[in-house]
Amino acid sequence: MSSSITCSRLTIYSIAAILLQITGLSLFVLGFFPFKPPLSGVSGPESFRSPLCGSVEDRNERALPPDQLRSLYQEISSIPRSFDRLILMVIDGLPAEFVLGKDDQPASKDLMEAMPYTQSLLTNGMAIGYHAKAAPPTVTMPRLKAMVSGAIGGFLDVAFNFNTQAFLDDNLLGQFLSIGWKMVMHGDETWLKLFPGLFTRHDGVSSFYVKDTVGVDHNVSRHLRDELNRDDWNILILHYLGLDHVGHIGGRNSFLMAPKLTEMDEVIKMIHLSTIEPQENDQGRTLLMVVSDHGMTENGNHGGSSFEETDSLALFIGLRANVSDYALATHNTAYQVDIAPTLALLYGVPIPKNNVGVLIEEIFDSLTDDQKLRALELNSWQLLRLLQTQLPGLSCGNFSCDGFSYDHSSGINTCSGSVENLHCCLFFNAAVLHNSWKSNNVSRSNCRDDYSSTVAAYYDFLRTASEWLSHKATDKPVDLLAFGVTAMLLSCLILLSLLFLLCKEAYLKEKQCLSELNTSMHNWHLDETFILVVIIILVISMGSSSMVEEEQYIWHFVTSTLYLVLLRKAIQFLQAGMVQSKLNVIKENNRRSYFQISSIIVLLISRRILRGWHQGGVNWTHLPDISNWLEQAGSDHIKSIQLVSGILLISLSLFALSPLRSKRKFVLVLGFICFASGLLVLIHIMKFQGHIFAASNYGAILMAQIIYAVLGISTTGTLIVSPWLMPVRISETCSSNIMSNSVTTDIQNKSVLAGLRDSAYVIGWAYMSCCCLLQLLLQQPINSMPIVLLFVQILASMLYYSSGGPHRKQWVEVAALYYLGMAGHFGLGNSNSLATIDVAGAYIGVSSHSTLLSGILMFIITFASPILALFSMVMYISLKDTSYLVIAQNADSGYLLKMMVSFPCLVPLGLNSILLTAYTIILLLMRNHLFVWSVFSPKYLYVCATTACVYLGVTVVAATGSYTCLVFALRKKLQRSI
Amino acid sequence: MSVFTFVPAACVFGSLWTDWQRIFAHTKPVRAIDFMICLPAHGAVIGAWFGAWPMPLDWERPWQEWPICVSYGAITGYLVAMVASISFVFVRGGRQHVKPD
Repeated sequence: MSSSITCSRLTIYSIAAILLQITGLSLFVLGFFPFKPPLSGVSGPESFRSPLCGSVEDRNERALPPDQLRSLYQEISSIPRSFDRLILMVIDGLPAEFVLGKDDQPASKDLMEAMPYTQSLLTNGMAIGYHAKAAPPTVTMPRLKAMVSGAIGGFLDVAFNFNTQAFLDDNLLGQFLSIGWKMVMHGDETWLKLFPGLFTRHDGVSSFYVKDTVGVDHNVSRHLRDELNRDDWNILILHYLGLDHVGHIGGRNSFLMAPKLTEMDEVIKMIHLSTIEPQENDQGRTLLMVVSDHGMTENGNHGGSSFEETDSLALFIGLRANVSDYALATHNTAYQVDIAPTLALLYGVPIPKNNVGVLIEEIFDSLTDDQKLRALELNSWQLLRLLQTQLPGLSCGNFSCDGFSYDHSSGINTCSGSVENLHCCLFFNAAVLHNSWKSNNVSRSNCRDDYSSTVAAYYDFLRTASEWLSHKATDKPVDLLAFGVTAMLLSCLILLSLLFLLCKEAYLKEKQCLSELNTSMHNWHLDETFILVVIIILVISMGSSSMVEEEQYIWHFVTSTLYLVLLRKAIQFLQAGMVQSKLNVIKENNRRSYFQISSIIVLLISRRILRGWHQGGVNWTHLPDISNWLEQAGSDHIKSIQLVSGILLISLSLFALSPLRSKRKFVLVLGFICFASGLLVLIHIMKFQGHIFAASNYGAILMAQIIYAVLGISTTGTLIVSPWLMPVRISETCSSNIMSNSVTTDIQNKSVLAGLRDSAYVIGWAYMSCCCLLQLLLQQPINSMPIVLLFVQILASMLYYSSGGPHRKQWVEVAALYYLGMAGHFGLGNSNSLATIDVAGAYIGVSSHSTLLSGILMFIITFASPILALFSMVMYISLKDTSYLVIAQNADSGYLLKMMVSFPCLVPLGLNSILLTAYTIILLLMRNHLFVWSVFSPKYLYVCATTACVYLGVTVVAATGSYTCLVFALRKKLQRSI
Repeated sequence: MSVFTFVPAACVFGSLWTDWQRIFAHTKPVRAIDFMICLPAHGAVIGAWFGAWPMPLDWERPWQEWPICVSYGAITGYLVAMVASISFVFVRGGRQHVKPD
């Protein structure tokens, strides 16, 4: 049996497996996260006719000019238009709690005092507010789409939040345009990207420069007075971003929050006083709607589905019917999608086709009963149309259009049965009641009772249909999913079998080379078993929603246990030394064991501190942790900790460089570069961070860019130069001897290996220290110490591995490093909810908005720890004592490369592919779970990003390894030829 | 926890490093008393390890508080291992009795 695979075949196989995995993953993602389930096309006049009567659609109606279309709508809707102008004021990220309070309690006192005018409007019954529950993901663009179209978009909208594109589905603004209304927009330029060319005037501001809290809002408000004096617009959209930015910088309780709320209050006051207050006549009435697209968590982030994030505001100011009670005006709940049908009916345009919302009842209180029922009917028709397209079986057969022949008693039945029957039955109930009310209305008998039961029946149908539509997991293309999963399984199998072959080969080689060593290594050790157990535990735990939410506990638990097992093993070797005689070798052995034990203990201690730093997760975030404690202690303490950690980091990395004996000058230069860039980072921290306003100025950006450049150049420089500079030590003396001598070849091979290892060490060091310094710059101030702890951990494990000798299996060590990286990922405060992604850091050193750059920075920040762990593999290659493997072989560079790089690359790939595949299957099984969109899907995005991170790391490791090997092979050839 | 593992071992072995290592790092008990200490101690540790698993689940039961599950796990593990060790001792004791005969 040919147990050894050649290097090139190994590479080809693994690249094939990776490509297969990528294909499978993308197919699965495309299939599972439906991109757009919506109907194309726009609702026209047909939406005012019953969907059940196959009325002939008049094609000409669509082609009507705007004015005629408007009057046609007016005529056939038979609801008078309540308002002529709309001011839609979007306050990005304002939780409804701030204005309306929570759980029947009014908002806290200082918040109420921050918005005196709005509160007085609410108290006087001039305004009515709603907690409008937003659907996750709570980021701006999908929420804006939901507000204007009433549809709940696909989950992948998040991914496109940073790459907005024109919104082509049926929506309110399109409807308004079709009746010839003029629209003006000031604020977030997302609107301009969604609706290019729609606005007659606009001033867009970018939402991507998070540190700016003043300019973004000033740019909106400066147009306000001018716009309010004009009368050439029907829709005015104002989108204020400042409050969201305040949240991102300082969280809910930021000291900037109250002034910002007051500023918003001033805007509301100005609009109200200038447009709504003066108009007592019935013409040209204006409605002011204050809405927010989403809320924010305590830390000011958003994206997830907690109450704090989904609790957005919908405040109607200027309705005709006054609400007398403050409690009535504030304790209402609705859904964010309800805004679209409500506005459509208020303004007499067709409800957008994909709307799943239900009109908000109280808003229509000024209409007559007849008109209200008509509004409900229109909404029901629209939902029924949508249902009909989603459920082809829904025909609601025996329904006659003209004349409802059902008598009253048979119409009202309790509804049950299949989805189709349920919806049909509910709709009929409502329609029958409506009709009987219509006929009764003529005779004017017991009309109040009938009215309320009809409304109840309509709401029954509307709510059921709306819920079903919004919860419906849209049709998933089964073949796509199946193919994706199969591809992933296949690639996982390929990777694992490659790993298995490699393990077997390494094992055989070891047996061959080290037959004189003890035989105990043939046994299956506890640590190896445990690594496998860890994988199984992880796979099982991913099936439980709470374990996904609290994943950091699992990683911490498992990693600590793994290192305790390793500690136990180290102690075992110590014992073996003590029992036997006092040979020098044994003493050496013992010294090594002490070394190992102490490094593991250092590692465990830093692991524990890291664990305490962030509470993490979802359910227990309120428990105290070190970061909270430090934040309470004040920013001075944080700054000093940041300084200390910076200094520690620099000295540690200098210390790590010191054991290198050869080429002192080169090492000195490297050390100096590291020191200099470390100083630059420290200066940046001292000077610019912590001052919210200073962070955006030119100097800070320039400084950060200089740091990026220095770090990048020094890393690539080290990578390119060091293989050429590292000495191939013995070869000078050897080359004069006889070349063909096998012993010399051996020695030469070894010396090449030593040079290789030295250069790999230097490159690995450069990667790690540059990565750490970069993180120190990018991460939140509170995270600077955890970065140092991570660095300490990895250095300690490096020490541990370097003193290990050939006793341990390589794959165990690589897997342990990978686990360390993942545990550190959660130690930095990340979780499986989109809310913990640090957005503010992604704009350091970025002068203008660039989606790509900020995206890359965000990725680097979020996956700091896995990236660091993967980069440390380069250093690991250099430390692992593999020289014994070369002795018997005449090593060509391909073999050398395979020996060095195969394990550090294949083990993370294999582990990650197991996790990815398992989680994919779990997600498929959980597709009907209650938490599938709020818990499992964000986690899947994280898993995908981790996969990308592993690809990146492995590519870097493999590229570095092959480059170094290539250079050394070249040098060997050159020396031979001399 | 330390009552189950550390104290009995300390009472018997005192400060003899070799014995400590033999029991806890190699798990190679020899005498009956070794069994009585070694197995329950490991049982307690492993039981506590498993006892920690239900803690992060969101069942909202009162016993999911921090030390409760772990203590129960440790006690259960200890008891199981105690029974096991007694049976081991008896089996071995029987064998040793048989051999001289």
